[in-house]
Amino acid sequence: MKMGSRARSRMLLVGGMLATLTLVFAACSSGTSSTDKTSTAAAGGGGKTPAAGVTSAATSATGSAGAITIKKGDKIKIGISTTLTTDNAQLGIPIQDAALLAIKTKGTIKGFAIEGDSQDDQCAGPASVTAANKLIADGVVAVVGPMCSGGAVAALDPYSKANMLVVSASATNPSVTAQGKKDFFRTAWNDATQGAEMAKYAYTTLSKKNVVLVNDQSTYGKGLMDVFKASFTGLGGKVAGEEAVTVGEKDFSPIVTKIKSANPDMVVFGGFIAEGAVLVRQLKEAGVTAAFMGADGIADQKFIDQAGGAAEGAYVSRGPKPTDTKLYDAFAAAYKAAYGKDAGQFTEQSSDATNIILMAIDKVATVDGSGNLIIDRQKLIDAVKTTSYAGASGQIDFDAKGDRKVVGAVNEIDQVKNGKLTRIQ
Amino acid sequence: MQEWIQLLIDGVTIGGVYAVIALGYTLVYGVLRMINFAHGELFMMGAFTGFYTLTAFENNTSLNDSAPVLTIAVAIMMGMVVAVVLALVMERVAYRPLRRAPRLAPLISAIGVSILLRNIMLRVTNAQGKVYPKVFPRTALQIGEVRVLYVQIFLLVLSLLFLVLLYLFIQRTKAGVAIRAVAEDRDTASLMGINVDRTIMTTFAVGAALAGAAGVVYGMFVTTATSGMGFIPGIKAFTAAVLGGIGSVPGAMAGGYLLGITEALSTKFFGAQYKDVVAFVLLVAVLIFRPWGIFGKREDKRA
Repeated sequence: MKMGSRARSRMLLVGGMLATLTLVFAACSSGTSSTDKTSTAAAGGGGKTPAAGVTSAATSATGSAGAITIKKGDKIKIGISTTLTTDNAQLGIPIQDAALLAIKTKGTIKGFAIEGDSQDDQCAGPASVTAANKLIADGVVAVVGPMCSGGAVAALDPYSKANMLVVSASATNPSVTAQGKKDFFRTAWNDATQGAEMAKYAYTTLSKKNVVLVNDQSTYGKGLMDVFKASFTGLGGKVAGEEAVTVGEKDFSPIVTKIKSANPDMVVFGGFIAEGAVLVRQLKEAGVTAAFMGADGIADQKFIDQAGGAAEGAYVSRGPKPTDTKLYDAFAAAYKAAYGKDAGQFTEQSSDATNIILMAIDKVATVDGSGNLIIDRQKLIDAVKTTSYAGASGQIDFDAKGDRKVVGAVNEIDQVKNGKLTRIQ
Repeated sequence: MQEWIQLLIDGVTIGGVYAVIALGYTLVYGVLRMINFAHGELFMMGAFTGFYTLTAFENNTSLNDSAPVLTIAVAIMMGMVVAVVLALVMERVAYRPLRRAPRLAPLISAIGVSILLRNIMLRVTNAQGKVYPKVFPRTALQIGEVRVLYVQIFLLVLSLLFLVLLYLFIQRTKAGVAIRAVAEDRDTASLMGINVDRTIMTTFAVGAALAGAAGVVYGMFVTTATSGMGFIPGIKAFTAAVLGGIGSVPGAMAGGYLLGITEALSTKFFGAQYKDVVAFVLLVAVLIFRPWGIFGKREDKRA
């Protein structure tokens, strides 16, 4: 396996250039992804559609806005848009794995094998749009994702132009469904409820009257803190300061210093594991004794592990686990058996999102005379709209906006006790 | 007032880190006229080496308790060694074949190396941050309301020590003279009997050793190591090097501290989310009046 230095350097060079090109394409493609509405439904599958003008050679399905045709012997492709690189991959990869597990468990639909097509959306707008365009070009039937709210807000436009069914397991910001896209659904809960519930719990149950809010400048983190602030001040609480961390940074000393002099009862954080774990640790080291509260972006054992003991006593809000945990336990056991790891945050929602998509395909897909599978995109979206599914994350029904209808508890509050997330409400 | 002092201490701490990393950028730029964008990843690899070394020591409790100074020294040495080896491989494989290529080619090659190293560590760690073992007592020096962690003092002392050592190395040793000669004029230096390849390798090695050591100490300070941790300090240190005058050793040092302190103090006015804006506004402001940086030499006379 010895490679000449020149060959290798050339390889690296090409890699670097490709990376640059990807960035350039990400910037360009968002503007040029307008999909031609002319439908080539059931045209035998051979013709290239304008929607997928850059269809790769491996693509077998025609990705038109009207219907998708999968030729006999080809596979049904399910797109997965999640974060596979950067620190947030620690949440994103399990989301992908859960979706792949659901696909593998289902196996086939009407004799057609199913396969996952996962693309890195980097928890950010531009990469999520790139992932969207790639998945559309790949001719996927539906998409699980995008992982993050910022990515979803940006990518829903190309998806809806392609009439693509999209179900996200983890994009929680209110603005995602407020766009009114008819093809988008989520198995995550809307942050409009989560933020309000967090504020209520902090003010009423924990009697915290004076807080500092810290967000990670993402659509999710900033949005959640905005909802929290509105609810908390509405209840009569005081927000002593609002700070923001830069994703990827590890030294939060100036923020910690400012929090210390603001002297709040509680620090509330909207963001993900990597920043949350470092923040909670540096706060403790600086001698800040205020309570710490985070949300679903850190509701994972990895947050506790990476906080190195400093997370003890922290409050964590998340979507509610169903009271009957039978289905969740079955999913967690299957996940553990498949990957040897505990099912983390958002995995059950990802599994449910995938299953909802697969059920809908099963319902609307028909086999034509020559043995090809025809899936009408609009019928697929309509099928999901009327879904009533008892999943690992609880009962799922969608409202008119594509949000999950709240059943039972609106929210769950956990506390870190003895190094484990323990439900306290 | 106490908050100001605390922010100043925060700024000096991170400024020291920027300064030490910036030296690597400035040295390599000095001899090759090339920005090594993978330099921040050497810092990251140093931080991981420190983590693995200290964890190994932590499991060997007798050694850890009896000689904490030794374990820290060994961790820093290991960080330096790994960074140096990587830098030499990087230079040989990704940069040397492109030495006579247009200036943009090694730059893009460097970005490729940076992406490669970051993603290798992402795979190795499964994207999960590693928590540093506690080597320093996490108690702090308390002066009124102002707290200084012992590791912050250590970081400051070490960064100043490195700066002095580097200055002596460049000014007083034969290898240092060779580096300066190659920086001045590569072809003439070669005609004078200086081994240019070896001098360039020395430059990479020195810069990498500094980055590796900085990585370990920074890791002990923020008590974490992740695959992406080199990116922001790398960009900031690059900014510091340009601010101070790229190619200038005292410039990198001054730029690092100036940037760190300005960033930290600015959070008092604008909030931490704007400290990057402040950093780059500072850069632009300096470059408008002194395009060659604070300590840099005017390049306009150079062909």
